[in-house]
Amino acid sequence: MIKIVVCLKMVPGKLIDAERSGLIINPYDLFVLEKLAEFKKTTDISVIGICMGGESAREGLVRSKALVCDDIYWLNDIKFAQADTIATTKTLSAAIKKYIPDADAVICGGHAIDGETGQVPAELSEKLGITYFSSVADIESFGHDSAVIVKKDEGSEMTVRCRYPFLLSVDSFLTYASNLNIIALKRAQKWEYKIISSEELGIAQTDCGAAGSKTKVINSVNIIYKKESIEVGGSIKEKADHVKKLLQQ
Amino acid sequence: MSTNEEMQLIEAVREFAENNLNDPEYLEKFSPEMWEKIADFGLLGITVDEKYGGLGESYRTAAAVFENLGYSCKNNGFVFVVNNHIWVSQNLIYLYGSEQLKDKYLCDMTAGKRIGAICITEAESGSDALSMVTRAEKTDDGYILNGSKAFISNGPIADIFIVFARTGEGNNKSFTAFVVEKEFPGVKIGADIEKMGLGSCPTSEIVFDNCMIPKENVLGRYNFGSLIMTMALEWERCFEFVPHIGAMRRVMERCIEHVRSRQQFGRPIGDYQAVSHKIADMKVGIEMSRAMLDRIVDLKDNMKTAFIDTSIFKLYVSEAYIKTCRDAMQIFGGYGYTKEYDIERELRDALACSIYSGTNEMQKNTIYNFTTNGESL
Ligand SMILES: Cc1cc2nc3c(=O)[nH]c(=O)nc-3n(C[C@H](O)[C@H](O)[C@H](O)COP(=O)(O)OP(=O)(O)OC[C@H]3O[C@@H](n4cnc5c(N)ncnc54)[C@H](O)[C@@H]3O)c2cc1C
Repeated sequence: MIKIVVCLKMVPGKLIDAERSGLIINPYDLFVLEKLAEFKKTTDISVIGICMGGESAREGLVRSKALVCDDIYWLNDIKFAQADTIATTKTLSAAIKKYIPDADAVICGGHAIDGETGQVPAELSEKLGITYFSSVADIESFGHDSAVIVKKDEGSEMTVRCRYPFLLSVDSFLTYASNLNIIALKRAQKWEYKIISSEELGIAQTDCGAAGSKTKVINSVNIIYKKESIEVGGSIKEKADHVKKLLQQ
Repeated sequence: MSTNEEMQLIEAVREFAENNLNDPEYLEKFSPEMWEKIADFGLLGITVDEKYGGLGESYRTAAAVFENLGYSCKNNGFVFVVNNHIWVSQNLIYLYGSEQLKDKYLCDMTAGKRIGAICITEAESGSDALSMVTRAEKTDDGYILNGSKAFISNGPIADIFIVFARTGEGNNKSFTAFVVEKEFPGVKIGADIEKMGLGSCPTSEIVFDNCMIPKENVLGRYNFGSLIMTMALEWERCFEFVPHIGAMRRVMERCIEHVRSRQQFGRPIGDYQAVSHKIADMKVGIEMSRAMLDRIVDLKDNMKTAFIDTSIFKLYVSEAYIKTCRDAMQIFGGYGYTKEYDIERELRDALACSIYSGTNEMQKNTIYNFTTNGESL
């Protein structure tokens, strides 16, 4: 069985839908989960989610569990809060090394739509000491000792066979996962999530959270551009003239 | 189930419906792919025990989920297919069937492998359902069924029919409910009948010509069919009308958007009281329906009868739903009358609800009789 670790981040839902409250699974991570759910129907894989986040991450974790995760490690401790990418990767790598040292693949979304740093995957591969593949657009197969991925970089596309263990940074995203099933969702609601504290993980306070961070976000503002719509009435010709005028403007 | 968990379920249902059930190509014809998707999603066994592949949810949760299905799935005909399958076929086997019948059918029904339908109405017996002439004769091996049923929703796509037939003389204790498989010898399915609305729910006549039914396929007890019918109608009058509350919400939201953006005489038309009051009526319709539903699901979750409550609910929701769609058309003016705006389809779909599950006139008879004599039938 191929053991795959997925790094999960929960991000504000309002970033994809202004009406949406609470946190959702980062759309790049959701793509990975959905992809793995598809693979799980035909391939012998085991999927382990790992997430650093507080109580507000629960809903996203329930969905991740319902979608595909066999197991989830939830790094939930106030001491992990306000971590920058360095503290985050120190924490995640410590958890992977301690709990899933035999992982064949670690997969991260290319970036989180709130922080938008895109640094975690590369840093994490460095700390885990495994090969890093960036700009992954798709995963084609998981084989016995390697997987086949598709990389897309500035206009070029490459199909690559990668030997385990490796870390992928995936640049495709989804906002809706069609493999979610409400029977699995209900089971996932009842599942007992393993909550891991900094003490249990055995990570020094100076290595995680705000204390372990080299940078500190002082202020963050989400700029959401609102689209406005206008209703164009009249005959087809009138509508076409109106649209033409708008385009000329 | 905590409110939070219920919200998660509702959110998942809404997302699922928005992403999978609104294909414009299938607004007026049944889509087997959509059926497969809703089955895979796991919604069909919402209140059925986990043992049979269901979710084992309470009726309160089911009501909340189905209101949102009605809201997010604008394909009212498809919701009608789902309703007929769940509430008046699968649910009847689950609640009133023998263990043998449950084992035989439920897992397949919750998994959507077999679709259900209910057969009460006949060409000459509509409102007066107990005047039916379809008859089942007892034999050594089971029953032989003869007759035909009219206006059967899901008829052309169903695999399992709950059929009511006369098994004795006189009224109450002379009917029996049967579970009839499409494959039983003597079952003939008529062609899809073209209707004014609900096009994605196929409807047909079903003929039983010396149809052989095995003994164990009696639903409930022999000659206790009118009791099962009463229960069936109670479920139907509640749960088939729950999604209509969601549909009203959807239509109301479209109207609100329109009255804000459409300008006449230099002002949004929502500024005119003749228009805004229509939206106020819609809101009242939704909230009153929910309040009634709240009481009914309480009764149902406590395994109590809600016969008169569901009759009042059916009457009220259907009137409010039709008025909402009729008013929406008026609010949209000429645009509402065009196919493009999709309001006319909402109205065509809505109009049937004052007829099915017992006409609204019949509900008033029931409510009057109950109120004046304390009778429920
Ligand atoms: C979309 C749709 C789906 C349906 N699906 C199913 C189904 O799946 N299974 C099934 O068995 N049936 C189904 N039906 C049939 C439905 O239950 C009947 O149409 C309904 O019970 C009315 O019967 P009828 O059409 O014969 O009208 P009738 O009984 O002939 O009534 C005609 C009119 O006379 C009025 N009327 C009759 N008697 C009285 C009275 N005593 N007092 C006052 N007014 C009276 C009625 O209210 C109505 O206005 C469906 C109908 C529709 C429209």
